[in-house]
Amino acid sequence: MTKLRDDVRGAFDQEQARLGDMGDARHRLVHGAMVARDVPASRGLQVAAGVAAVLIAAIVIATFALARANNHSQVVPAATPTPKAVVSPTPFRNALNVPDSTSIITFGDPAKPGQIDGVTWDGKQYGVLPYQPTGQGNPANNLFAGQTEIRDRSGKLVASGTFGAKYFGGTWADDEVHFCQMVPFDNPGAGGLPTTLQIVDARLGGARDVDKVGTLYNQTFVSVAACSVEFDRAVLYQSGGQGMGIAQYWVVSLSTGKILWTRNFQETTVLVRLVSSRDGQYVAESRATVSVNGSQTTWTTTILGPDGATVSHLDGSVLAFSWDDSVAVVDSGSGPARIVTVHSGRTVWTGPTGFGVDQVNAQPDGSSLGLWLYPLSQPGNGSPAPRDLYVIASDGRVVARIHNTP
Amino acid sequence: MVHVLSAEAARAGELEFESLIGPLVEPGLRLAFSMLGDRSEAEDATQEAITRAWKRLPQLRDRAQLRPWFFAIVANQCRNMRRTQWFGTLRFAEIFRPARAGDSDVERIDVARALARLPMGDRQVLFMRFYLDLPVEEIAVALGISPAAAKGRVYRACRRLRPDLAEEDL
Repeated sequence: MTKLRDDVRGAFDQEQARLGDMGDARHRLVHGAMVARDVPASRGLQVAAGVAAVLIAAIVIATFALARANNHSQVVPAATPTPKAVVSPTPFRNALNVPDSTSIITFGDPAKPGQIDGVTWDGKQYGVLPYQPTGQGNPANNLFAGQTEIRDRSGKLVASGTFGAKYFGGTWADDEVHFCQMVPFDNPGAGGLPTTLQIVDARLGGARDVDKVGTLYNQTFVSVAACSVEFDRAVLYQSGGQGMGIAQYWVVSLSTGKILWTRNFQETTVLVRLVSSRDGQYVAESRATVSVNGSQTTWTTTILGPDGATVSHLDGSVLAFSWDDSVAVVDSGSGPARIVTVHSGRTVWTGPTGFGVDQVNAQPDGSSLGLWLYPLSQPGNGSPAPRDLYVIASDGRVVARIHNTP
Repeated sequence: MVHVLSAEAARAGELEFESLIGPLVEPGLRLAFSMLGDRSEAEDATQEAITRAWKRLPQLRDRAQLRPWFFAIVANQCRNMRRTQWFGTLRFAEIFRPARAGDSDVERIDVARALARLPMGDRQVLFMRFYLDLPVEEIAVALGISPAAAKGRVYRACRRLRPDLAEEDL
């Protein structure tokens, strides 16, 4: 395995190749900066135009906010975190002994680097995993996929093949045994290549082509946001240049390949984040707007339903939905994370102040959410910032909390 | 006579400034390009950052921190541009096109795809760490966070790229 730093550097090298010859950039930019310092007229015009644009945007947003103000639900006080299971930061030695069919959350051992532990979603059983998985787990964490093989929780080889050019590139489906992937994985050539959505059975092997959707370029990809066998649909998105933002997304029937509905942002005026529910029934489009003086960024989210119609508007940026689509995790940017109801925006849980959300897992066939929170400010002890795992029910109860996972 | 002396003094100041900032312009431009994805926008951001650096240089107490201090200005300028409405129009209308370079570099695209999935903050710290080869302490200065937090961000970004990452693979 090559070192990650080499891989990352190589990818950045390729990206930077598009910058082309630097030429006299150094002297030209310094000279330009000195001229701009003395005679800022031309850039001043740009800035003025920008400020005008932001002012217009602010007016539009304010109007929009007023228009939907009546739809805002009352925000309830945050539930007090009262964890039922708090795991002390000592290495687990007991093996987690639950049936494969029981969904678990996997996490790094707080006291033993490299050890993978697991906890059930009710927080009652936890321990070290007998087989230390290395691949990407399905939602239940009972299958783990790498680039060339898939193993179960006991370590037994379930399937082998090529599931990505270098890493597993699929998105697990909600039936726990299929995953969706876009092919080809690489080598799009100068003009790009049409990409095909495939659905793969992890246990039986074999991929089925669903349909051609989107185009793969060297720095612009088509990815799978959701893969739902249960609801017969996938949500795919084409990233913007260099993978930033969303250029277009599609909701596709897995059985027929028919595009059920699509949204295009190639000419939009803002960067858009996209998060889909696991079943593809709800899609959250989050947009950032900036305050007039540029000091504060505000996120707003529109949630679209199964047919693409608007379901609700939320303040903040949606990070994930619960499995049953009842609640969503919202990052407000400056304030603490929240869990809100999807349809009304009612807050059911508010995270601790001073913590950001690093990762979210949804409980399969349930409504709980696993949130990894990390402190925004760190003591200067030189160690990686620890995270706390909160398992939170949809009514705001803290089911379990594990301190200091890597 | 007074005018001549002032002009000479100003020119000397500019030369000193260029000798300090000049070597940082290319990496600054590369950082901006990594964040904005468009050369023209990256040059605008870098030029604006140089102007701001000129104005703020007297406030920099520790010249040893010049490099991360300048990169912080570049990154802030890029973030401001990314936030703006008119920049979004440019991004998607003009940048959404196939890249032409490096087509034979087939193995890299999977990593590039994984990098593209990362939040911008994660991309930024990986770029500083692995492309610009900044030490963690300088990344911390550039991001305005503690070295521990910077190290944590690098670590988490790496784990997001490769969940099964071993310490020695870093």
